[in-house]
Amino acid sequence: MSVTYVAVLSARASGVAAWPPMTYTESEAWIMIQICEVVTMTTTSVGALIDRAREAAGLSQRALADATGISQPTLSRIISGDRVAKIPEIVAIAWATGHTVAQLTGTGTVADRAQCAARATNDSEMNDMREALLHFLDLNDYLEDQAIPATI
Amino acid sequence: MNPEAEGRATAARFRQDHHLGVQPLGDLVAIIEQAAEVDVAVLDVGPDEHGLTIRDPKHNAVFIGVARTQHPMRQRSTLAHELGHVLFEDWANINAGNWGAHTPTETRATCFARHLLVPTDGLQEFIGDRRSVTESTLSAVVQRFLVSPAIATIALRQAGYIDEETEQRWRTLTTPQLAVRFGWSDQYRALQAESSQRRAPQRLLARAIHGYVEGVLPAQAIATVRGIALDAAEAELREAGIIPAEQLVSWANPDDLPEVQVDMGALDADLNAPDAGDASTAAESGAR
Repeated sequence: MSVTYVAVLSARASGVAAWPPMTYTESEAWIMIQICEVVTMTTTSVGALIDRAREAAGLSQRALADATGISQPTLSRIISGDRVAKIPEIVAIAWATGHTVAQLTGTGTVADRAQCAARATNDSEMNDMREALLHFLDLNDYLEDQAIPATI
Repeated sequence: MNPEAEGRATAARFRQDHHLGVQPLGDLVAIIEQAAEVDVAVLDVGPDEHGLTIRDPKHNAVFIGVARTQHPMRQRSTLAHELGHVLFEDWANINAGNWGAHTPTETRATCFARHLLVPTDGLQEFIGDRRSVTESTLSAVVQRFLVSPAIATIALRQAGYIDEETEQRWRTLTTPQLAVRFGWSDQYRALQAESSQRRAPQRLLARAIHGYVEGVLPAQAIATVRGIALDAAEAELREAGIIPAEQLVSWANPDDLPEVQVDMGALDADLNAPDAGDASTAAESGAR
């Protein structure tokens, strides 16, 4: 608990705009849990994952920069892998793109355990669909962890 | 059992288990979601013949994805094919590759799809004991069961309505050709509009909206699942009266916490040489 609390404090201190201000909200709880899942990450792959999340959310780099309070040059350098993304930045990007932190850091295990049955002409053409469906599995896994019951 | 017989039997069982009778299956996406409890997504990706089924064994969650397309009959056969994989539990590691090969499991899923979409008894009920089966009959079968002429032709042949030569000739016909010729191109266009419409997996979306209400998901997560812009998602949620619940957290003052008494005697005895200062430090950290 203390580790995540420090992370939340540091996120506040860094002045990330999207961060909920003074009250402790469920969103912050979401973020705290997310941070616990972050282990290690490599710069380039995180950049690529962030860019994919940005695209999936239908946001331009500028729109994502505005939504997170990260400057556009910084965001661009994070995406290209020239700069390591800080945890508060990843958290803000996760919230703004509707992804989980685990998805952005590649530490999610859903893709490792997922199984599939496919109909296609070749592998490479399935990538977009596979990514889209894995996103659903990640989200489902997250909601399961949050004890959000299936409603239908 | 060969793939054909296995596909046929499983299709019949699926229809029976879910009380689908021998009627044509209308909205296949909804039927799969409700009957098989599998989430279906129509996605804006890739060439349109593609379908993919993916499963998380941990939660036994299954998602079927198909591409949005101008070919509604093809989309339906892809959906039914993928449902076949789900029912036969044709699971492979996601990184295995070599998909689309004509393996027995692919053939079996394809046979299942044909029999699910056009069950022989349903076809017989529809056509009856009509003697002359013409292209107009083929068109009616295609229009009624919403399958490609190829699938309808195989079903007609299997039910003994046409000979092999006719089968070969009809298999090359396309749905738009039949629709135009037999006057149902308006209906075909409506089907095209539906199959080229993006569609979010309903069960996951409903659950995500619950998560949004509980404050564990941002509105952007809803927008991403739906493939729409954030403002549109927010407006839609707001208009439906869906707003995140206020989560009030009552903060406690640390001074209000009760004094905790910890008896360190046993530990002290174990450590064998306690002095007064150490004992009080230990008691403090115990109380923390």
